[in-house]
Amino acid sequence: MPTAEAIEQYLDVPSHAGARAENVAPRKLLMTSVGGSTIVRSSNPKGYLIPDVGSFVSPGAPDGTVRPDATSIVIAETGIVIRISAPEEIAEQIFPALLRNGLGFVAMTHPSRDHITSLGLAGLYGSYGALGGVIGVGAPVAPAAEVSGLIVELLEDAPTLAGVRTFEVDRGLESPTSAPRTIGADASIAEIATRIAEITGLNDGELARVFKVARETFQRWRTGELTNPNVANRRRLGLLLRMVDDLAGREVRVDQWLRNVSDIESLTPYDLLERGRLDDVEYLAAHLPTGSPPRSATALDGSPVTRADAHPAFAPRRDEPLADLPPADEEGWEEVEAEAIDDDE
Amino acid sequence: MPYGPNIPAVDREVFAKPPLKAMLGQVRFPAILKIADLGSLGGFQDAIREDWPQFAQEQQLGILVGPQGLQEAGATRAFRFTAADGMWSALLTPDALTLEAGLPAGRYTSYEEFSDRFNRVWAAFLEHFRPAAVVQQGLRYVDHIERELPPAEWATLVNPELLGPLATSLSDGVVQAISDLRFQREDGVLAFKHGLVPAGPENKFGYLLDFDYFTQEQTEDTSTEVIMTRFDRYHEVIYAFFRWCVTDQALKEFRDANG
Repeated sequence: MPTAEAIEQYLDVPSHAGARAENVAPRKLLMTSVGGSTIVRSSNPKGYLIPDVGSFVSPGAPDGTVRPDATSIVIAETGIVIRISAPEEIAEQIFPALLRNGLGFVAMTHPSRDHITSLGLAGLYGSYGALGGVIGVGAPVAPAAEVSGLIVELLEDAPTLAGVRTFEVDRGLESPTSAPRTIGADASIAEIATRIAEITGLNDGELARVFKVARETFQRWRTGELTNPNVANRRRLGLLLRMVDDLAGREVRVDQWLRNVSDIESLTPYDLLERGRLDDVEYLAAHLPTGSPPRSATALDGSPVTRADAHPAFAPRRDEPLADLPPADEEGWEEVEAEAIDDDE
Repeated sequence: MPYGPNIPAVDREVFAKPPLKAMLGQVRFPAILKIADLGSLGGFQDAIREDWPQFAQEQQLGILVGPQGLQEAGATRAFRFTAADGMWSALLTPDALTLEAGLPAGRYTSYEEFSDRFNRVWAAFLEHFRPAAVVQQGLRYVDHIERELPPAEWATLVNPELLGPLATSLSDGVVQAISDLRFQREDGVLAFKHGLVPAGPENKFGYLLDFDYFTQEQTEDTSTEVIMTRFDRYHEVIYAFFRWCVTDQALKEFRDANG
């Protein structure tokens, strides 16, 4: 793992550039924490290394036929300029976090960590692979910083980071103003929607399909512009939050689990959610083998309660007669009578 | 100063298993601001929809990291149009149109397919955006012959004239050797990087042959005919150079579909 010394030499990059060295070699990973998830963006979306023109030390601006969406790091007079490109749904999450100084660090990988030390400055700027090590950008990086959870697919681009021990990103890099891990019973729709997005790693479009609303609608739930989903969706939000929160509490990587093909018609849990089959998803969740049992506590009356009861607004009511519940609607969700609420959708 | 490299043309051949890992053609032009506006793309998208039915937006962000911390250093949008089979994609930014083959997962068929596609998309681009000039045009092929071989044995696959120290007693212990050549040509620059380097999603060791033929001479003639003629010339030179770089043994392996 990168040591403090390894980090320092990259933090001090401009001082290494006597002349203006331009593009550093490609294959860069950009990692940022967004709530409880880590978004990792590879510079090489197609998984193959195309060395950017200018990865050799050369003065002047990079030239040649370079992929416009390639990540580049340029050593400029005023600092380091990082140019990145991402699909819109990822950019929506990453870019604001980057500009809010929410960036954990930029990791640049190389097949051989010895490359830098053996080639010195030429290796730093002139390598045909990339740099081995970590640059702390923006938020300070603790000397013992470890790489946070990586999306598996991008490990293909980062073989040197394969097998690196991961940890929850908010365990050391979380800023004081970031969202708490749990939310209270009086949580707003925005908090609930945000929490669901954080845990599941699903983007606004994907979550919107789960709730059968437009992408913009879910986005506005999440930002607080819309505060009053219809009755059915309010309940669905609560049920989904309870389930994913419970999974997260059991140390399940919910974002990955949602994408794994299940035994139910070879569909993923996300596919099932999209089809409104929450019962099936709950079944899968309940039968998920995990290292730790569901967290439990004891209520004041001594009765055991599940972690879901941390969200009493959405937990099943003890006096709710199961037999009187109406049948599932066409989408597989249970409709529950509730007071009329102004629907601003 | 003479232009180079002086390599004779060769007859084209389509290989069953070429070592091609990336291929892209690009034309740059003075920034057309309305390209960044999604609303202005409708006509262009309609014109190319048959070839490029899939559409996705990307955002590009520049971040300056300096003594003052993080600052935004420019942001723009890019639009990716992908063929139905995912084999090709066209990326449009305010200052460039790039056509790229979907390698290495897919299979590059031939230059003619690239030429055919770029011809049509450029014609549509001219009609809807009318760039004032072309400031750069380039064609790039990146080949990587993947093999675990001692440096000295690469002469069986790669022209020994390229190997330099690898073909001598200096080759012992070499784990990477890169060379960057630039040839000035009458119609542009041919940048050629080659050498032993691990690359690719599986980080395989092999010999890299990266050909980038481009010109930065600005011209106001943006016609499809001029653009495609230039691409054709570039391709002819790159192909001949590629053939010069590899041995008959290598060609035999490239032809072998079962290899």
